[in-house]
Amino acid sequence: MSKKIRVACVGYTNAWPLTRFLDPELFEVEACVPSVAARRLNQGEADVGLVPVASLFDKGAHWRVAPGWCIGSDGDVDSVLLVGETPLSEWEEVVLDGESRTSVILAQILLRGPLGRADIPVRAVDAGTGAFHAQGRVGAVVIGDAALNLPSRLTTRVDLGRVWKDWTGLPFVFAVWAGRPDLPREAIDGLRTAGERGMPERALAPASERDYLTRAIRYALDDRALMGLRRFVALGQSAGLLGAGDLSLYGPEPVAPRTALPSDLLTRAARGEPLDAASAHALSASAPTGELAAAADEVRWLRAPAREVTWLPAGNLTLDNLEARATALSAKKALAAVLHPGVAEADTLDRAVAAIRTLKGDHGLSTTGIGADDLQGMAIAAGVSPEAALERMVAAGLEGFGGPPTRAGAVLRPTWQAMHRLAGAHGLRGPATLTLGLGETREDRLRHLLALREFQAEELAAGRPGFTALSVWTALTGAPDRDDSAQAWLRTIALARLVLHNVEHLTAWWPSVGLGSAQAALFAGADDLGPALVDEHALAAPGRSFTTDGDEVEHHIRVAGFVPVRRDLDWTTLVRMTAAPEGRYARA
Amino acid sequence: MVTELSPLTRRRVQDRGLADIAEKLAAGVRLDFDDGMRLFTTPDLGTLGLLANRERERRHGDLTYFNRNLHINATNVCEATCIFCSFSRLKTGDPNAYTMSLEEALGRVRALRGELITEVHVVNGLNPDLPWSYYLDLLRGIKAERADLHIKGFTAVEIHYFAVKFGKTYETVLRELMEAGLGSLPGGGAEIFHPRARKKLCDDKVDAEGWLEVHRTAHELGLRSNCTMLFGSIETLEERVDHMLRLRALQDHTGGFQTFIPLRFHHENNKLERLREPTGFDSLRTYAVARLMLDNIDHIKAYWIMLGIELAQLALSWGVDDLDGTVREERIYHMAGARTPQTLGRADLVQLIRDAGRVPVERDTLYHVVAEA
Repeated sequence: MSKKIRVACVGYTNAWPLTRFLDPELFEVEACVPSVAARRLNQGEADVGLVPVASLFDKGAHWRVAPGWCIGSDGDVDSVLLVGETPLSEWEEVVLDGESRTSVILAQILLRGPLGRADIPVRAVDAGTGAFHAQGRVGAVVIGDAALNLPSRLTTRVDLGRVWKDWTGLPFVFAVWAGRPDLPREAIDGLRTAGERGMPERALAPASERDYLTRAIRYALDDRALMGLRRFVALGQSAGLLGAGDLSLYGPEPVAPRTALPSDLLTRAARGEPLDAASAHALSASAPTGELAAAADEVRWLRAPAREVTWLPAGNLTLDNLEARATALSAKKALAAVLHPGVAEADTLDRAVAAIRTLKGDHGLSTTGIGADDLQGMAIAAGVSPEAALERMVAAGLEGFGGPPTRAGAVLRPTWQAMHRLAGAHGLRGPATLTLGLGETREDRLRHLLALREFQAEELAAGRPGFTALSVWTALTGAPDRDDSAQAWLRTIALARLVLHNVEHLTAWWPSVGLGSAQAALFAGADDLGPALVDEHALAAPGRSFTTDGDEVEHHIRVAGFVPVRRDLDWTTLVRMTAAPEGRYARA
Repeated sequence: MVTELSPLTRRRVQDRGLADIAEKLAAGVRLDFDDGMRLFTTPDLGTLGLLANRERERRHGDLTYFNRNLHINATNVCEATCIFCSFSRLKTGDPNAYTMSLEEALGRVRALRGELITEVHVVNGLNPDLPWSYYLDLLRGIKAERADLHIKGFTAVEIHYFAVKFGKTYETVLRELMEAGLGSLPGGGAEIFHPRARKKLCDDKVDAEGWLEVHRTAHELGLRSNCTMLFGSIETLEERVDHMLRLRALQDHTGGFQTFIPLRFHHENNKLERLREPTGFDSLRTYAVARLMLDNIDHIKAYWIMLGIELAQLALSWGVDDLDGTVREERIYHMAGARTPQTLGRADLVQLIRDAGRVPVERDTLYHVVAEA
């Protein structure tokens, strides 16, 4: 920085933990009494100051408060007292020592409030003379060193920090770092850092100071301190003791850190050119969401030029609820059953084979949903090879493969690849999946997409059918380290459309994020909404209850401007639903 | 900070026939009614979002505001018969009707003693059984309990109702409420201004002119306020654009609106149950068009409690810069079937914003920074 930040701060004992470690490269420090610090700031002679709270509301003051530290108390503060020779209830006047306006205003608020002496007249006296004036039936506000060294005749000593705490339950804030609104970020950060360094140093202070600095003074400007501060300001203002004005902290920098995106990368990506890993990485890390979606949307239109969005009339079932569920599925005109065989036991393969046969033979439903791990598990449990297991299921009528939620990176596992090759060799097709929120990083997701692309290329080159689609789902854990929010889901869909040039369709699998978010995904590369069932409800987690109602799916597709198309497992049969008549009204 | 559109987006804007609008926006030229209709009817939600996002970032960068507040709906007894409302024409004594005693209402404030909330949002039914003193005492009571709370209270519909019921001018009503502690007006009750839709929706409550007059009066008295639009019930797109333009015209005179809040229609437990609710597509395009049309209103808010947190997060790329609060005790939308959790922890909200690549700012009612996010 070319010019140092000019700091005005009080030289009191309680200030040094905040001021002593100010970086001299960054700050130029002037110690002064509180009123002078405020004046320096007001006259533009200082950029930032450790100033009494009351001075934030001086006429013409438009300062911001720096977050992080303050000089406050949370109970006994020792150094801000009402004192007298007689009990407070007998006082006829209170003199206000002018050295600290904040303390003086606090005293007045407390006299009118919890101390029950709203009636008492007050009079200002010269700074430092409070204890001298406290005689007979005259009480006084005394602060600082004077309060710490009182003559023994002053037997009434009311700690104002304590009274405030007992009354409001909150800390009290005496002084804050405040400065001009455009104070540079590094200065705001520098104030914080100085305080962070100063805090542990308190323990090394002389014994006489240590207790005061570590027990009586509270330095954190946290939520509780901010509440105390706001309460004081509101009470002071409504009593006419503080000037008008609002309290505002310095806000964060308005722009989140971004790395620059190579200028032609989006344009190239939007042409559907195969992206190398570095380009994909750059897009993933830096492309604004809207731009990433726009590029993916371009690719979507290149690949699927019709204004159509597909979905699969299908429902989930397990081996345990098979009969009832299969009947319900065919009643609801499902085309397919998504079978979840569960944890494999010795008879799971037999039961799955029987289930597939029943679903096809008795209910006319195509079965899919069995994934690589299911196949491997069932084969091991049944003591047969995966190939033999698969052959039995295919013979029973299995028509699709894959689909269960997949952790990023699964595609890199040799067994996963082997199972999918096997399925491909039997002509089975299905979606690859990617689930967000299982503990993977953004890089893991990208690696998953790139590995999938490579695997797909190998499959197609070997004459096997490959994946029909990638289906992206999010667990929506909300955990801070997961980055599996709706936004991440949308970005992953867009990125997948750009990376997977050899996978035909992209499914925005939406039950966790809702159909409204799914509509946004239709403008970010997705052309399919996956399985859903007429008259079906799923995922009633707290705070979320999205239906998987096929009518709702078609309604959402339609109002987003697309024709809904019911598809089968591999998009060979497509039933276009004629558009509903345009409504009179604007609802969409 | 001006966010440049990429060459890709510029071409797409051109292809969608929106180049002239994009140029107007870049040059700071105000959009007109026809522009608004073209934006509403463009089939490309993505490009619309990019235009709105550019405006959003030009104003606020990545800053995304939220606050911590308490909602008090002190009574749901209401004389009005708005067909979209689940409170409609409830009388004292009806099974679902309630009116809080002052002690009850203040108990809700007291219960949050230890929390850095900065605002109480007070909105009520038009209850014929309550005296004027009830409202003044409520405000005074809140202030006595928590002097530091900003009271954002009473929609223009309520202000109008008080004026008629208690024989006062808007100005007197507002002055007396301000005296008792009112800090600003919420934006509710605007619904749809156009008389065709308004007659169908809420024939017996204050008309557009009255609503706007209340806000004009409030602004002249130094109160800031918000403004809203109920979308997705029976209004046309033309009526939405018309609504925005009426707000924009008043704002040109007073500058008192802080935030525009499109309110998504909810259909349960009211007379419009047969209507489908507006979808995410409709919500997102409405936020985006609002950001582009309302060039003189600083903020566009997505009220997450009615939208769902997922869509609210996505809306941050469609012109929205405010997600409202970590709300306590919301009743109006929940009686209409909103299934969102009633509160979202502050940390969750901050995370949601960060996950969207934005910068969270905890604000007070008047957009001062309250605490570090």
